[in-house]
Amino acid sequence: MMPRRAGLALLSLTMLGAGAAPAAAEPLVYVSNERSNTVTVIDAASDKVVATIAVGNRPRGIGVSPDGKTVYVALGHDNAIAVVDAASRTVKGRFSAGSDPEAFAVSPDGARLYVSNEDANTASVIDTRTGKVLAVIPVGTEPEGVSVSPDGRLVYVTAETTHTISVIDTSALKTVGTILVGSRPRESAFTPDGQRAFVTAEIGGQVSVIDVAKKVVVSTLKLDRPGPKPKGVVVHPVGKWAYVANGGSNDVAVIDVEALKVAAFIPVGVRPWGIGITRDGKKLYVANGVSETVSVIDTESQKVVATVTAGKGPWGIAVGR
Amino acid sequence: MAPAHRVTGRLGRRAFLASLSGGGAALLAARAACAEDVVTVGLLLPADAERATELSRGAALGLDDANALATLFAKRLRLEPETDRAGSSAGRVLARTGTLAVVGGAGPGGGEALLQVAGAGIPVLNVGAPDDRLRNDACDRRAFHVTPSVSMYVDALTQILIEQRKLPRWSVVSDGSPRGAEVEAAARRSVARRGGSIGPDAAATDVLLLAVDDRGLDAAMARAIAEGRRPDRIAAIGESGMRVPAERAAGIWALGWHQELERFSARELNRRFRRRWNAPMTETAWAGWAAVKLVGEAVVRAGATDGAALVAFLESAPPFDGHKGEALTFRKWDHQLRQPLYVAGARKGEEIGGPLAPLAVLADVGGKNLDALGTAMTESRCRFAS
Repeated sequence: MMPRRAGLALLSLTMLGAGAAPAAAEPLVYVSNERSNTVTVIDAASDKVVATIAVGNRPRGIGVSPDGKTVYVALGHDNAIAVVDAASRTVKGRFSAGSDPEAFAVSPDGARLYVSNEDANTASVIDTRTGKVLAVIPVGTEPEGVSVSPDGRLVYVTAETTHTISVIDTSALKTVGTILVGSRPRESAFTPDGQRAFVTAEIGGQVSVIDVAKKVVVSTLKLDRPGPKPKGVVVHPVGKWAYVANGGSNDVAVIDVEALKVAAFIPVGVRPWGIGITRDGKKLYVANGVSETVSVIDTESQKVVATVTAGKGPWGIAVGR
Repeated sequence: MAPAHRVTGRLGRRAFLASLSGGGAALLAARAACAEDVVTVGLLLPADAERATELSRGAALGLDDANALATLFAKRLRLEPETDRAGSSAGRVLARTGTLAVVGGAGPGGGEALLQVAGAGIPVLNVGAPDDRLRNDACDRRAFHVTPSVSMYVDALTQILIEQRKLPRWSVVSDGSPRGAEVEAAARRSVARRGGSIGPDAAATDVLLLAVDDRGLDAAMARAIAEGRRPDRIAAIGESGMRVPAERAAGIWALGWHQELERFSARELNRRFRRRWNAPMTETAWAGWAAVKLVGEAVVRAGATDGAALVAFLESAPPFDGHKGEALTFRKWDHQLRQPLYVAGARKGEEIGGPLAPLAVLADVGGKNLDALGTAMTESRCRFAS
């Protein structure tokens, strides 16, 4: 009979390889590693790395289907989106995604991906069941960040050179508005009620707050840090806080959504860009691209409670079920 | 959005104007039903054909980018080029044609020509004259300097060569030209500030700085090498070193832009330029792009329709994305655009050839302390007339 300790060790080795994932009560956090061409999988219960998945060349944007079963990864050098089966942790296919896909968003029903094509000044809409491109929509110059409103009706695409948000109607599949924001907008995120959106401007050093219905900027929050370079943004599931990863000042800004004020800055690793939050809102995960770690923040205490070693050049964060 | 034009050789005025129409045609058609406010930006081109082409191309890409934004808000920019030949009144022509601003300054005497336009009351953006004098005694409140100054270039060199590479002993070879005098004066300030020294005996120093007019730099570099100086210890400023064949490339150069920059979306900008023109984006082209785009942002963000509004906008230090990784703003004391610079050197033997530039970037300079490059406020002799 195998000693208990050896049996547990054998089970652990199997889990750490590319083998099937055990049923997890806590969510899994997926981190794209731009320079090692992998995705790191972190168990949010233990904040330990449970797997590393080889996905393809230059992974950056990353997203999870609403049911948690599929992880999508934009592969910039392969002009594709990798489709990863979360259970087996293997790449089961790819979608052709236009030139140099960097970022995308998954629709709330999981049926579509909205992908920004930086080279082509367009956004592509992909049917996740078939992989077919349903539409190619002109947007601003050098599009990057993509977000979808909670009701799925609107998509925001940032454009770094025109400093705009292109507002796409997902029924008509066309642009229905353009909003001027700060210099070099990178990413956006909607509040859970869909009434507001936050947009980071990396060179502007600020966050624009948009009234979604009116399509206007209602507030501009300056980040009072030396050279903050805000990039990633995420909103707490209950909508009270927004969190911004400042790639230049190496911290996370905590924004009071109601007061529209920056409430705190939480120091993290070097060059934090990707940011994600668990569905219960208790933990934030921040990808630090230069220190090659992921900072885990307890949102209650607003403190870093763990630092996880990721791959080379961690870029994006997606939190699954 | 931009057409895939292929343009080689000199870009004449007719071809230049024709090249602008392709990029804007689709947008114009789409907005045909809406009246647009059209703003004219003058482009003062140097007589030198190569520089004129580079500036034209950069300005044209800047126009594309500016109009990609402006047309979304019922505005449009157009460029009106004039070539500044000796004895011509190109600057005065542009000043009379209802231009919002004039972009120029490239080529010999370009800075002076541009100042004449500013003197006529039109804001100007300097994209080719690095003269410290234009930012000090000869400064003009209507003049904004996109191109780096002599002092900035020299500071970039000393920051790398003295602070990083620990080469503190310098000598200077000057040709007695006004440019040479400025480079030497800047070197004396900068080297001393970093704890180095400038001595007369070139053979006993670590670095030889060429304080020479642009037109004589190539010959001065060759002479220094022929006299036995190590090529990687001969320093100079500006993009002359990028204009020689790869096999003759030598020296350490301070630059404002490089065609192989990748970080901070520089790769995307360089690629867009190359797709548009089938040519690399030079420093002159980058400055032209930046200047026109800056005017475009003033038109859209501040609704600038006259010179006073443009000056006010630029003086308010709006953060400009020049694809250099930092917010670029104009200094209030001399209207110089703060920006990172680059130090480049000749490639190693195995890298020479192919489509690569003759010089490779060795270091970025400036980073979080952009005011460490160039004339500090306390040192500035610029006094703007109110």
